[in-house]
Amino acid sequence: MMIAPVHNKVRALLAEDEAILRTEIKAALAMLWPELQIAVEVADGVSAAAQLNGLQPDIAFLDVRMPGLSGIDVARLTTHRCHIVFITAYNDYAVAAFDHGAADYLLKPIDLARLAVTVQRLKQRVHRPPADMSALPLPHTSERLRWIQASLGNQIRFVNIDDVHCFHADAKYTKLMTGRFDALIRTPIKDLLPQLEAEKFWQISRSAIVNVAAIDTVQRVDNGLALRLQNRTEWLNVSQTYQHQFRQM
Amino acid sequence: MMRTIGSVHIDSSGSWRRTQPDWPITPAILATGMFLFIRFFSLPYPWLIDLMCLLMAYAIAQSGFIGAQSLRVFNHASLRWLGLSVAIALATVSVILLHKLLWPPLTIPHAVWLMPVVVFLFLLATILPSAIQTEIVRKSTEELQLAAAKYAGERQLLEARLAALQGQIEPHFLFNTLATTRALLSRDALLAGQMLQHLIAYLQAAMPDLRAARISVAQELERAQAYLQIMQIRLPERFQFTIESSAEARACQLPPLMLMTLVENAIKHGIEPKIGMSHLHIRTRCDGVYLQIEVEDDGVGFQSEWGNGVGLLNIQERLQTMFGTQAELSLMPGEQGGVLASIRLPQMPESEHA
Repeated sequence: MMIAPVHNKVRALLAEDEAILRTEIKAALAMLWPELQIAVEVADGVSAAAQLNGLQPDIAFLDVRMPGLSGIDVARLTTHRCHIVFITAYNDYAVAAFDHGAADYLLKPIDLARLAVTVQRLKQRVHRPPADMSALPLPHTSERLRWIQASLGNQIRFVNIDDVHCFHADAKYTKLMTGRFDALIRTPIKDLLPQLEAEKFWQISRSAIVNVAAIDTVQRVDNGLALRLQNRTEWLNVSQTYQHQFRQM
Repeated sequence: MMRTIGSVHIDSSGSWRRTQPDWPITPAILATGMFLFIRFFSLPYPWLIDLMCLLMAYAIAQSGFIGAQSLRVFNHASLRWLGLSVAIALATVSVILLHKLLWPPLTIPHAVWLMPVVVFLFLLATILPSAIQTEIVRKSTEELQLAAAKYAGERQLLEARLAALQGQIEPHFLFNTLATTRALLSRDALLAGQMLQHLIAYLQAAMPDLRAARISVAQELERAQAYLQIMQIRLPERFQFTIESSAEARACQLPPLMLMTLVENAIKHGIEPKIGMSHLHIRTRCDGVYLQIEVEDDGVGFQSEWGNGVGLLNIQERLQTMFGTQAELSLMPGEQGGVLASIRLPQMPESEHA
């Protein structure tokens, strides 16, 4: 069994992908907290995660935007708990990070007075157990879907979601139909649905989602409903489960 | 079997609306039944024959009217009116023939001309009002759709401009660049000076774009170059770029910010997330008719199939609005991994320069 080595010095990991900025942060830390030992410097998220688990530092300074893994992913995925300070050029994630126990949040360019506050805060906390960051939410997941990449032969088209008339399951792909062309996407129908606006797109069967604005005609068939889209000749059946959407109108 | 109960149309507000009257199935069946009845039982009732003729004429003319309204071949109002006139004429003629067949002329109890005239007037009275109303509704719908399309085009252009303005200078880029410049000041003042020079060039080139409808390739490339040189100073061991352009291509015009959007996308989604060395190539070509711009990187390639960014969508919509099908934005996997993004657009004539 491995026994964690005992250190007198507080050890830190510094992850920042731009070498010039890394050197500057290191110099500033050396000035404000000479006892702090920067055990390792890394330039990407994958190395940061590996070194966190290997060297087990007390503190990690993580740039939010890094190659490989983002600083947020590193904090979520690491099995070694330590005090985490996020570094970013733009203040877009601070609140969520604090809510989930980040020790601090630094803005680039680093302000020395602000860094001194961070150092003070870290000195107070460093001997307490660090927060568990595994539940940290990913930033920007609530924005609605605007476009989708679809392949048309060997070309990739950017399709505005509003231009899509219908998504239809097609073997291992999903077929996407617009008024002008049909193309293929890899995302299955069931993963697509939560991304779409419920008022604009209705599921009509297990294998099809249609754009309400693109419906041309709805007809009653023997014991159900069928609909036809604009500029199309084929009829799509509306399964029993999804017919209520049409009835309430 | 599908049974038609009229067609139902959902308009954009989501309400149900009947757009077409039913096919005249009942009159047709009734008239045919009466015809067979009269034929087989040789019933000499003049009122029955007249009624049957009237029903038959109505069925034929109404079918003609609905056919003209629902078939895509009749895509113009005058064609539909022609179709309707032919149907009414056909109905009148077939009624005269039917009448003759069942009721030899010499035995008709009323004047010979009376029946066709009555049938003709009856058809006009029953079908004409609904035909006129349908055409009026159709015309106003078409006008509305035309206005909506025009409005949508204008709105896209405004949205594109707004999005371009908002997304013009990414805060991440700006603050990281300033942070690097400040760090360089104490260690390599010369490089810091160069960095500032590039930043000034980038920002200066950004300013006139806000109003111009078009910009020369040379100007757009200058701005891209300033941006890429900044990235090269910031990521010295990780990033290289090349720009290929002929004098002819540099003189071409293109809508502002399209090239920059492709370059910024390549850096942000392809090169910054990649561990290790990466390259970016810009190639511009002009054959006198089309201008072709390619931005290729060997970064991480396509990561997600969907997104909410507006940059590429805007390029596509602006190209569509300005050039229709003549211009094209395409993205393909690059030869060295990564992404090859290209824009092809017709060369913009200098004379339109406003």
